[in-house]
Amino acid sequence: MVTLAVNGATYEIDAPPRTPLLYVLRNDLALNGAKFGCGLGQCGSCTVMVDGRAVLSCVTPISVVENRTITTLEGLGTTDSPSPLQQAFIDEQAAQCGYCIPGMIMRAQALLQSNPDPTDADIRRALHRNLCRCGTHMRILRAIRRAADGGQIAQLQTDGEAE
Amino acid sequence: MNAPFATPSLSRRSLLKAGGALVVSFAVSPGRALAQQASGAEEAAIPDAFGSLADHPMLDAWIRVDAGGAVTVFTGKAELGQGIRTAILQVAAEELSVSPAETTVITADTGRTPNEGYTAASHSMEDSGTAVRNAAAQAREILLGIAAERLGIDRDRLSVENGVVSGGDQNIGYGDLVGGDVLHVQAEPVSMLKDPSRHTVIGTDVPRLDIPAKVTGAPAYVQDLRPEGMVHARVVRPPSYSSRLRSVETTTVESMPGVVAVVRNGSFLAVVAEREFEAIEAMHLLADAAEWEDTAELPDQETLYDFLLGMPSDDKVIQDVSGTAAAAVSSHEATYHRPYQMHASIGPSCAVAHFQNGAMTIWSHTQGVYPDRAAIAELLGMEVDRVRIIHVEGAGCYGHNGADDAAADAALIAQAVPGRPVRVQWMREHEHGWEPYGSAMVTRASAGLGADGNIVDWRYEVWSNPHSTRPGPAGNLIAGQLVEAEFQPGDPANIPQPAGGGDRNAVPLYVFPNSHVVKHWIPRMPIRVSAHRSLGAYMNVFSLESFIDELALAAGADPVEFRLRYLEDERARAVVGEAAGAFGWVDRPEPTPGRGRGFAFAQYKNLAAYCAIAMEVAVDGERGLIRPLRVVAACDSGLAVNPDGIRNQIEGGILQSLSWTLTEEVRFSRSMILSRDWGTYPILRFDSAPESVEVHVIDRPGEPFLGTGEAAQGPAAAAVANAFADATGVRLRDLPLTPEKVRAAAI
Amino acid sequence: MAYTSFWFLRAGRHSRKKEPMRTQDAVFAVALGVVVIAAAMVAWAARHPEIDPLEQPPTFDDTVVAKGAMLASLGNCATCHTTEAGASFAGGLDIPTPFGIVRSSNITPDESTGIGHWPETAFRRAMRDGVDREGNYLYPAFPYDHFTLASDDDIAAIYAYLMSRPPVENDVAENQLPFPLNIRMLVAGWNLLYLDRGPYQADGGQGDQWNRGAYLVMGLGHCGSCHTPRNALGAEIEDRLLAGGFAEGWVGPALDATSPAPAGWTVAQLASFLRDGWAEAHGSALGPMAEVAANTARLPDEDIAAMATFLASLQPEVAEHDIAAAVEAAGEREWSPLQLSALDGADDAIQDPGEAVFAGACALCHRKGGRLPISRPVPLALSTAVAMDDPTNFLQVVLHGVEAHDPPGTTMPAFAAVLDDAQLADLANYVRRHFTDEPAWTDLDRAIDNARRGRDAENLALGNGD
Repeated sequence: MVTLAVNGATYEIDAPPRTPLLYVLRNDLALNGAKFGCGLGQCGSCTVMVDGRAVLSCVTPISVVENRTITTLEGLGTTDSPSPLQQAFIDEQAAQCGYCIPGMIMRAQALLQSNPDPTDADIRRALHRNLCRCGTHMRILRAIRRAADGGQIAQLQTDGEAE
Repeated sequence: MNAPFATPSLSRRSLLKAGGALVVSFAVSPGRALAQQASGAEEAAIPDAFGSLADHPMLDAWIRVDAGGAVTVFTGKAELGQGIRTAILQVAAEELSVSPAETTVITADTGRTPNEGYTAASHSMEDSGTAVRNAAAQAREILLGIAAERLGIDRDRLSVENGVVSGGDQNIGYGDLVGGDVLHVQAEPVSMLKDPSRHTVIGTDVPRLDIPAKVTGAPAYVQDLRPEGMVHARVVRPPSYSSRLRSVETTTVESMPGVVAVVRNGSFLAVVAEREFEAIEAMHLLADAAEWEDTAELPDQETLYDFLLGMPSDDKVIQDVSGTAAAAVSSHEATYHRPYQMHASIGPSCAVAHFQNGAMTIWSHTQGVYPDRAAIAELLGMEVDRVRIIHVEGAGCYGHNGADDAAADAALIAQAVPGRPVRVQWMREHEHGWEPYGSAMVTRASAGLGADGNIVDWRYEVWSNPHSTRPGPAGNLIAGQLVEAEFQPGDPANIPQPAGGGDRNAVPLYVFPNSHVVKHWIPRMPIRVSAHRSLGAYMNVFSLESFIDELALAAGADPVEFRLRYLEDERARAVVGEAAGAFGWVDRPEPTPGRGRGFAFAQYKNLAAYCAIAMEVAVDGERGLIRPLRVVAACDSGLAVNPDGIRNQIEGGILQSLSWTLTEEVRFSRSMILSRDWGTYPILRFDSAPESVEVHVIDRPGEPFLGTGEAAQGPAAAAVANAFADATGVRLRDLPLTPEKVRAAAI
Repeated sequence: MAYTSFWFLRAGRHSRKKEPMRTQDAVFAVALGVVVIAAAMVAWAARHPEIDPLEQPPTFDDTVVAKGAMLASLGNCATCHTTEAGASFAGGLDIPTPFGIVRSSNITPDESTGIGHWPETAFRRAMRDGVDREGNYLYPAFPYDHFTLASDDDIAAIYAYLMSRPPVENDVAENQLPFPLNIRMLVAGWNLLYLDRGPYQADGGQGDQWNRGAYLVMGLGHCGSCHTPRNALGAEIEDRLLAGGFAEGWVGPALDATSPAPAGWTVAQLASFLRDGWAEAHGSALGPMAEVAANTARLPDEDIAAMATFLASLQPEVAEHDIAAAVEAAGEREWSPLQLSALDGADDAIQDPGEAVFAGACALCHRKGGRLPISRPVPLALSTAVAMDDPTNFLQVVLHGVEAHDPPGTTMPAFAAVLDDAQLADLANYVRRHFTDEPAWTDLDRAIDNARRGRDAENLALGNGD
């Protein structure tokens, strides 16, 4: 059994410790945010936050995140009550197929939590490892800029809940 | 109400009473239909102008209203992330005068929606949007007619808003008007469409329906399906196209924890497990245990284009214009090359299939649920009506990617594990290695300039493999070729003009006194190819627009002014003017070796959306980088249902094209594809995205919808090459414009 | 002088931090001051005059410019003289040295902030003697101690290339060197001791190809800058040519007979590495070497062959079939799930915590199977990073990953945010034990600490784990 703290709740996961976090999130916890894009740590579709830092869940075995705080897209907000960053993506209509977007949002959340006032260059650099195939880059940048300018990015506490 | 296509005194009921047959349906090519519209013959009411309604004339195939007044719209098209679900919703809500919030759109499902073939070729608004628009308008009129009788008020004194009909001080909701099968009637050849000046939903930026779920993790994709009892499967693909499986020792894998089954049928190999990671580890082991006979011989990548030109081809003259003109005082020629390029969907293909009681249900992101169903039924030896395919969104596909094949894989495996839903997720290496690519192409342009600097003659030739091998027959599926039965692939489609395949946009929209365009269709495909966003248009527009730029330079003319000399289409001229004006083209600074500006224009297929792009780039010769800085585009998509949706598609098309143009090339050895992941097939990253992209949408309220999703790719590519030439004086003609080539040219 | 050595060594092989001054350091500084004055007096006697600025901008032959472009690649000029976001050659890159931060200058032909006024004689003097147009000494972070070997023609070609680039205005800020190291005149003393002025003199006992290779490697290639050990004053140790060095937080492995690579370096392997950034028996060029290999890829085949010939001559000869045998043996050691000590997930007791990490994080790529060159990593049993006594390179790769380069090939994710120090140590020990027969790495904790320090600060600011 591996104990995981995800989005503020604790779960006992009956999976081999070497199982990458992505498959546990999606299958054992039925969370849709983190996506399978490559399984090789190359595209960023699986990005989640661990202790406030952006991490590729497809190459992260659950054994190493056992005592850490894991936050997924679902931990930021819901369809009825999206977080400021999620709302910024809706307001900018920053998606085409949308498959890469959860990874972008988690990467942006990690950025804004540690640097609430990033330059445009900072944002581009932070997103370097996230790929978008539909070409939504400009809207993604605008959405993050919008959220940063809005200044409301909630600092997630160590137990994964927003302040 | 002054509506187009209306015949005011005609009422549906009177027509029905007269026993009139209302459906006239004969095949007319889309080009002719639009041409007839343009000539003002609206009342000719050719059903093809109503899009897919001609093929599926029952109104309730498209629109249903329940007793509570909630509206359901059915479309045979699929949401690919291009926003079609929202746009169709807007069209229906507008014509029915219902609130978008009370309306649901059901997309492609062989069990519920009309068969509209593939969601492709940017036809969705033209085919389905138009059908829904007309069906909704006619449904509205039927309901108004019933309301008139029910309320005892003249039809002309009734109005409807948010699904409630009012007249005098009475009102009645749609829900109370439906009963029996009032909408179970055939469409009329005329519709009372709402006057565009009264639109409140069409033409507004209605936020996309699917985005909130996608940004909060609510289920949205086929990858999110988790039916009860589902198992996870992985396929093991051969190393190369015609490898055959000689032997595989399966007992070790079968005894791994969680493994439910190993499926082998000829060279088709797969493993099923309870847990996903178990399936992945088992797949690796199974792949290692398999012994293959490799027989494929791929061309030598170094001499690919010579190889292409040397293959037998079907040659056809697709434009032959002869006229009098001055003698040419100079002649110019250029040859262009494009390699195989990938769709490379960010989410590899996935499908879920459930075989129960002799029936197969498949959830897939295929662009064509009906065609894929037919192919899979053939593969499985099942009756077509025992197979149902329901479209569920996947990642962007940009054409024929691995979706159809993943659906077939899932179905085949599901037959081996009856009763349990089987989820097949392709790995990254499978999607990269096995999807059908966009064909490699060679083009050659030549022209003569007269003494006055005008083009007096124009020749253009294009060589290409086919651009469509969609199922089709079971033999077009990977599984079909791998199984024992070894289904044979069908003959590839040679898509005729005006749409074209490899020759899409090979015929210029420009009007020249003499013009001769030849297409060389090469049916032999050593590397798997099929429809890749915009088909041949990307390469043809790249070539054509690069070449016309060269001619402008030779003639000492401004590139935009030069193009306008040969553009007679008013809407084309408007789009060119809009982009150039918004960019500040006329006052642009002189180029320097590190900074240049370029322009390009095309009307997709010479039939769909118009798009002009002006671009400023920075060139760094040492690093070999072309960095687009400022991109200004103008687009005319006819009646703009959702202007933001149009902007999104054009922006996306530009960025995607920049990636193709600057970076992308499938690599292969003599036996196998080498581009298997994002390391070996890099695409554009954020550091290469432009500084700004603006899109100006020209709305044409009275005009039909024009497909937009593939309009920007060609012009964006040419604009980059033209901007580079502006900066350095050097023409790059071999795609992609890699750092190595840029460096060699710019140093 | 012993104290001098201590201070320079402690200032760190990879550290970017400046150590605060303490009493001992102050005493040392005074002692050094005496030495400095003496050296300065010597230097004053041998000072270089200012060279007059150009009147007219020169013109160049296209073929010379093209040749210069290639040679500038070999010299990696753009690598140091360009910032991430800046224009090529416009300078401003902070180059950390044990002595402080040196900033690369603007070598575009800009007339106010670059070298636009430099005649060729000034450029040649900079390359040969490490002195700028005005007569100031340049710091040997600019490897003129290697470039001095270049021929006049080659220097002229590089000059032609640089002077025909677009001029970029960029006023580069001052170096960040502590007193007294910011006194340029000191460098004269260093030059006296360590600068062996060129051009290259051929070794009569060797063939043309070897000499060409030696010329390229020891001259413009400046391989020794990263691959040769340095003394306390930061100069390469003459009789330990290419015996291993350091650069940017990475170890430049020994290329001589003490090479730690599990398989040998034949001419063919070396040529492949310099041409494609990849060799079948060694894997990909990692860290700073990736960009170097991307640059050497631009050289003509005969120059690559020459460099490979020279470098191979420094090691004992290895037969091709021995390479093949090493590759095959390494293949046998590749990882597969069947090797897991606890394959059945029901048994939670992981014998080796490093094994679980490897199986879930690494084995997705680093496993048995996969027949594709370049996109699949080489077997870890062939990896120099894993076989070396110093775990630095292994840790760097795991923490920071591998960036895909042009031409496309290897890419690897970064694990800095995924693994904590203990988990990283577990993984390191597992990999070392599983893929080599070498003794365990010692002092892993300090090595991990050093490896994290460089990139971590920047990444924390971006919220990244990279």
